[in-house]
Amino acid sequence: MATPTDSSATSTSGNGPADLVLVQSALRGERHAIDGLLQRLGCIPRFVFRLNRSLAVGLPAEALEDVVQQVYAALWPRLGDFHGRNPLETWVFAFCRNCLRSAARRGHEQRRAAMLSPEMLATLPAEGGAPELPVARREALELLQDELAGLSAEERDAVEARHLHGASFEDLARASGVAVSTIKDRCYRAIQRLQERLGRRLHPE
Amino acid sequence: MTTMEFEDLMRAHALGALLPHEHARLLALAGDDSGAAADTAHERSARLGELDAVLATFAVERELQASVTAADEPFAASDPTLQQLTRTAARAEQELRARLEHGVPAGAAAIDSSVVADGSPRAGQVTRWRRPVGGLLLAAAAAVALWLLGVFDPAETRLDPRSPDDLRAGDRGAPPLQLVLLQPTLTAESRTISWGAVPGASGYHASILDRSGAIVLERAPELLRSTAWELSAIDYEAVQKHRPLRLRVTALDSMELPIGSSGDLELTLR
Repeated sequence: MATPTDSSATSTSGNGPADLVLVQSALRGERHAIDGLLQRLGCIPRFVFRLNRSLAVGLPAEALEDVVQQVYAALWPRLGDFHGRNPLETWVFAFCRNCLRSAARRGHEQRRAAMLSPEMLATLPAEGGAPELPVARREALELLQDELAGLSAEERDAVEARHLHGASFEDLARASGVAVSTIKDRCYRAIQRLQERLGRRLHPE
Repeated sequence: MTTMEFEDLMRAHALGALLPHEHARLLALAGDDSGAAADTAHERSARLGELDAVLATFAVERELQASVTAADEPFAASDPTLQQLTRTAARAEQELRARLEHGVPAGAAAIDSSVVADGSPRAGQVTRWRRPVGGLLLAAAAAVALWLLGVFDPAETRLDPRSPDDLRAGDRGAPPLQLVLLQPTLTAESRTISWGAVPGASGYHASILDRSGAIVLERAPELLRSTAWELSAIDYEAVQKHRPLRLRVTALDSMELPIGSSGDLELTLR
């Protein structure tokens, strides 16, 4: 009996499970799914552009071009990992975020290294830009991203799914193949660690 | 007021499961210095403030994500920087399309995204993807030959011992995940799915999902340690109506925490 053809392989609705079908169909080489997937990945330049503006990263256009390429390069080997728990754009956003942060840090390190040479410093891109978020909020987000990176994969997955994407514990448990209590423990441990490491910095007495 | 009540409410607050009246109760307990609490109101208020600050930061991150992923702003399309990035993306898309159309496995391509330092004051350069057209054709031919020789046994699913989430999105220098996308196939006469043992795994959770990701069939818990799953004839018939189906196998450690996953594989019923 032939495998049923999935007519929803070209999804434009931003639905996690449908996007999973889209990605898997594209990985199988189905032409219409490839077209659909690439159309959806067209959000990458927009995300990078907006993140650079919202977070006042201030990278120049040439550096942002590199970021866009790095997002595609990072995303390609991970397409098979897309689990479809959230829409494709949510998954892509994380890649854009991380690549932009990496680029911003490289730029910062280069500027620090160039501090010894005023001539070099003058030729490097300036920081700043039009901030969309107040400085305190941007710094808090940066601290949060740093600490999330230090969590275990399971804890980070649980706390991000719960507090960033509003997933229920039951959905998380089903997707992860573990008990609801296990998911809650992971989420709680993650929050406790974040509170220990960030609490005083975010909420000084 | 008991310390336990305060701790229970703090836990519920940390999990985002606090009801409105419970939140009011938590605030009251945080400031209550009477009774036999183990800590002072000052300490409880500080802890609650720190937790609120962490949760508030998550809220800002949600807002950021929502604003960045929102629909296009009409005026932004004319921004020269955005136009430049869109042109760059178009070139990257052509590369990605070629890989998808030629069937290059997602983990096999040696995409070099390392920064090439060329001494220029520029922030960095990305090494362009190589275009080994001959190599792609050879890889495709090899894949077809191996498939014909039965090397890719559709009944066997290999698990990567590393959890996919161990590789961070955007990490530079992280090796590509060697996830092999195979398509398990079942027939009425052959209803067994099997996979290779994963180092460090104490058991495996296996489930069959429908298109929406809902679990329609799970392997019995008493078979946790087995690396095979034989569907009964009744179960085989029962899952037919939920097609298209996907199979997910998760390797678990002794604490029943996932240490590897097959991802969601298309499950073919013939």
